[in-house]
Amino acid sequence: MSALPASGPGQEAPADDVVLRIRDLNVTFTTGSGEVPAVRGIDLEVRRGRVVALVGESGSGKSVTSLSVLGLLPSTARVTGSVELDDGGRLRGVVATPEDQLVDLRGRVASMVFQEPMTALNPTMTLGDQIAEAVLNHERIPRVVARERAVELLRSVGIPDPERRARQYPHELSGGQRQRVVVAIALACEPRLIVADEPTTALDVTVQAEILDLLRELVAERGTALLLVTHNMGVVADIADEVAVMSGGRIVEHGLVEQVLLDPAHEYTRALLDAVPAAPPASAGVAGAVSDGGALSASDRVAVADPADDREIVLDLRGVSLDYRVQGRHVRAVDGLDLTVRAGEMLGLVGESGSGKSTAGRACLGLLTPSAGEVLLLGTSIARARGRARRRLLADVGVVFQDPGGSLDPRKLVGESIAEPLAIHGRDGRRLSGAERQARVRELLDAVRLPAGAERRYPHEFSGGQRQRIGLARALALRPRLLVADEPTSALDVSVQAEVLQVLRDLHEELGFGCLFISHDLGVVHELTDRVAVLRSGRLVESGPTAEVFSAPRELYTAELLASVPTPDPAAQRERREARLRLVSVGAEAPGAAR
Amino acid sequence: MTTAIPVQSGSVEAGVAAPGLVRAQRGGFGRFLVRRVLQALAVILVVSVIVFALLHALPGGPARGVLGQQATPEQIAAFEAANGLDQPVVLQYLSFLGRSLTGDLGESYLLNQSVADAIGMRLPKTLLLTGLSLVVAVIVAVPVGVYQAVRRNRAVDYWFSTLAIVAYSTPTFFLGMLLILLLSQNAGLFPAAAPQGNGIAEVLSQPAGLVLPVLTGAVPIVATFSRYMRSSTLDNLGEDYVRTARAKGTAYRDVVVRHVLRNSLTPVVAMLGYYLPVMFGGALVVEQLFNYPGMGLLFWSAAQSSDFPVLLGCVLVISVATVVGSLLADVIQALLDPRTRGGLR
Amino acid sequence: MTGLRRFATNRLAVVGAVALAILVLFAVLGPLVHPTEQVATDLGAANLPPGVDGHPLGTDALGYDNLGRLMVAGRVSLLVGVLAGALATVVGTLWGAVAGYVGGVVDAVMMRVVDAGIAIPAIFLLLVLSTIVRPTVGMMIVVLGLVSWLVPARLIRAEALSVRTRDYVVAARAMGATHSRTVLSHVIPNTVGTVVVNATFQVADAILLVAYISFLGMGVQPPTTDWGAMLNDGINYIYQGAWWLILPPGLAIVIVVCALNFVGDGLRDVVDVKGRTA
Repeated sequence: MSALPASGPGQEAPADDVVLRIRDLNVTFTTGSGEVPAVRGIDLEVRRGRVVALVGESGSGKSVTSLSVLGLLPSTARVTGSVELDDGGRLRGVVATPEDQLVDLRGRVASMVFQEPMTALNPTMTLGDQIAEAVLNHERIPRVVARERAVELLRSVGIPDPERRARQYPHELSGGQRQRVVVAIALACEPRLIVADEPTTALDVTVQAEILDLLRELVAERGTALLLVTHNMGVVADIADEVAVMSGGRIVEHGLVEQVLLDPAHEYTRALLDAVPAAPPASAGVAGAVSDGGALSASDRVAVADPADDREIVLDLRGVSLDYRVQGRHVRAVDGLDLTVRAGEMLGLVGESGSGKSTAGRACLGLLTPSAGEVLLLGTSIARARGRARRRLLADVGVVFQDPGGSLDPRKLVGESIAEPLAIHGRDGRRLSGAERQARVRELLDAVRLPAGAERRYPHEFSGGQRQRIGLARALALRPRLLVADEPTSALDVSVQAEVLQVLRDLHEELGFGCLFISHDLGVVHELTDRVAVLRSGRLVESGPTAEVFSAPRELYTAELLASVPTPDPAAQRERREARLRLVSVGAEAPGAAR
Repeated sequence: MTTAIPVQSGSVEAGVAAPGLVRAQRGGFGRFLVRRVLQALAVILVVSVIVFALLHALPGGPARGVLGQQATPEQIAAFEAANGLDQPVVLQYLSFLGRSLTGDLGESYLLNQSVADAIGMRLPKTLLLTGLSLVVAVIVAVPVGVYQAVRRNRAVDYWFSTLAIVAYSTPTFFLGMLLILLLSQNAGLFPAAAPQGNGIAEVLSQPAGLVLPVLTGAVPIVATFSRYMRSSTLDNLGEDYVRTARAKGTAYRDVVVRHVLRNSLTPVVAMLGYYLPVMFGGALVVEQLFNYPGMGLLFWSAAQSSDFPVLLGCVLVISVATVVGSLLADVIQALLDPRTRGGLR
Repeated sequence: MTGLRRFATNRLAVVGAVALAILVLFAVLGPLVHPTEQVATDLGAANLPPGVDGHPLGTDALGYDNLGRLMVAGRVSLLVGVLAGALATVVGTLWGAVAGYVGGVVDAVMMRVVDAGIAIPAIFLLLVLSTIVRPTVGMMIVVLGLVSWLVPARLIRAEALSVRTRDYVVAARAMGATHSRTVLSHVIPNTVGTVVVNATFQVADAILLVAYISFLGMGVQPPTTDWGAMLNDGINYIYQGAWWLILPPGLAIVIVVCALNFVGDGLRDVVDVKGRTA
């Protein structure tokens, strides 16, 4: 642990400055299979007006630590050590404190913002009432006054038309707005400390940037301290003053943000930072032509299919539109999409949630039938192919899905799952014998760097990253010419993601398949793909060679998207942020553009 | 009563199912209502086909069913001609449907009364008995289920759960007998015979006689709905909004009462609709056991004497009541939820 | 092996399994140990209290030995329950699986039929049917099975619908797997647990229904009897304090239905666990 001026353990600080003091905190969970330690003896202090980031991968104990600050751990947790909160100059303990005293502290002295804004609010209570409840929990004031306060709070977190919004229910707001409401609830009693547990993880990057701006402003204005739990190093660089890196329940490194991110002392921190895909450049291309954000014109389509490239086109989407039917109404998810993937190249399909990128991916697999346009696999329309011809076509396509838990049949051995395409199609037009199949399965396991013997085990015995590699082995069993990968690493920790991406990259080089890589993560796409297509509300915004599009975007939307991706370098991130804000103001002046 | 067991044990534990609501959320309330009413009409149509088929499955067909086993072939032929039974089946069905829609369910050949009148006299009393049992049951089941969920996996939860399984494994009539033995015969607290009389007012004027029938009818409902309530409350206690409410300093008790209770009740209301046929089945047994003059007793006597017009009339009416009841339950559930109610504006 | 161990950790499930085994042995092998006359009546020895004249549980109004009657009645109750439950499970599973997997209009029509069936209270339907067909044991099995397949149909449909959208099924379809292959290799193996658990509850359900029909006097005809019919016979003597005619068959029903429910709960613990070893 590196030294931190006047904040590290062992150094007494003036009491009026410290809002949270954690000393030798240990948390152990009692489970059916014994005691599982989650946090092992950590020390941490948070001072007034400071933003302290607690970073780590899943299972590092960072979320458990954040819950222990408000005494919100489940009853199966055994807690020792001390957690103290500053209550008007008096430090009050949280560990082993009776519930009625904790109720008095929660919301008033310290409050919390959670990860999932879609579920964090009561669906059947108005937003105003939910905020007012926080006020009424700690102040004896008339309900009417509390309601007025709720409206003020909504205004202060940047919700337009707060009087009307206060009477609405959570489902009437977008995810980003809901997260603002959660922040308003946390602010309601002006606590000294806000604990935010992955507050932007469930949000799109542009919304993430807005929420981070909001938090930064609030901290600066009110002097509230913020304990920010996150796995995202870019978020840390964007907002934190100090960083504590957690691994295996311990804090392995703690220091000022510039120091930890730019010159990490601990090798774990270094490995973690190395695994983070480099953010695409942000500001360089802003000066480029800022168009009105409409769909691509005909001349732009040249970028889709470079005529100079003579490699075979394995996937060709021609003006594909896809509709969802909701209660008899058609909702357009993808609108006139043109895409090509050539053999041996990787095309990144990026977009925010609801952009239609996954829907487009499913159409490429023949799972959805376009309402207009055509999907050509290897030059043949998948919608027109039937029976054996269709199956032969699909034998040349592999697929990897996002959820490592759901994409393998839980009741089948890993070997059976990997061999499934072989069982369906045989190889080279003939059925394979059991021994041949086994040999191929072992070959594939080796290719995705899993040990021999894995084929005789069940999916639940493997970690998320291993399961994604199993899924990759299955997708590649028939040496397909096209691989469709739908957010294959989005559910994984960065270090695991790096491993899986490395395997994918090596196999891609070796086997030379064309790959449609669908992702919301511009960093990953930047690192991995040759060409990129940006999708927004079902329409293609722009496409071209990844390096070109990312360094000199022609569309405002792309530029803003790129600038919203935070980079784990505080100084560089400050510049990105300013670049983004400039773009937003340009967008605000040009109606019909970005936002 | 009986069919509750698989519903309860199978689907509820996996989270209280509320298919109607999910559908409602996607299309707005107006669409949901239209769709749900059409669905109910379709179901009633299928019910009418089943009843019509039963009518024709009677030994010797409807004619012998009405005229009795001693009827001569000449009598039967005359009857068939008189009642249009010699016409094509489709026409017969349509005329049956038309008659049913106008409330003409035929004549009982034992009661010297039309089926519609016989049912009309007794249905309100059955609804009264079922309604009272339901109210008593809900008053008990909701707090028990919530309490179990809050104390989940503690001894008290296990005891209540086990008790609930024992309660719904006990046939209603056996439970009724035990209550008669204990509370009527041995303790002499309540009469074992239910109130008699033609109108609801007469029945209500003898409240002591209602105690045992209502209690007998309520126990299986408590057993089922305390489990629904427990599982629904557990689902909600695990929701993120509970954590948000606690983090802002709301006491656990208030979280349960202000936030969780309402959200947990909503899906249980819909289950009430699915449970109606079971409740009507239970009413039949209770009425027979306590000699309560409702529709169940009418039906049972008709079964004893093969009074087919009454039997089929009862089946038709009770099924339509069930369909309408489930429809109401779904609509109430949709109205309770702001996500579906929003579509009304 | 792990499955069995997991079942064993649910104490009530083990108790249920043991109770079931004992009751089955009692009904099937009991008459060999305690042979009694169950066809010819003996009005001279009617309504004897327990313990008199070598009748451990007394006799009923027709002079049948009550303990022996409990055994032969148990055979009928259990046989009808198990076979009707099995029939309902098979019919319901097929109906629900087809509706859930095919979807669309077929699904809508099939489910409206199920809704209609569920809207008619089972007891009402059974009473009508038993006035039409003479209730023999075989008839009871068929009629009960055909009345109670609706709930499993609904359950399996929901399960099939949910399995159908899992990524591994979508992946199989994207690989070009045929419908029959997808159903056989993914959908059925992943729903079979639900089917088995539900079958247990279905049998419990059927045993209760038999009891109701017999209690209402519309069940199997004398001298054949079942537990519900014994209660129907005994109710006339309830005010004379003939508890031995009421409690034994009543408790037998309660115990067997409870036991099946406990076992079902235990099986669900085994099945529900996603990650399990071979």
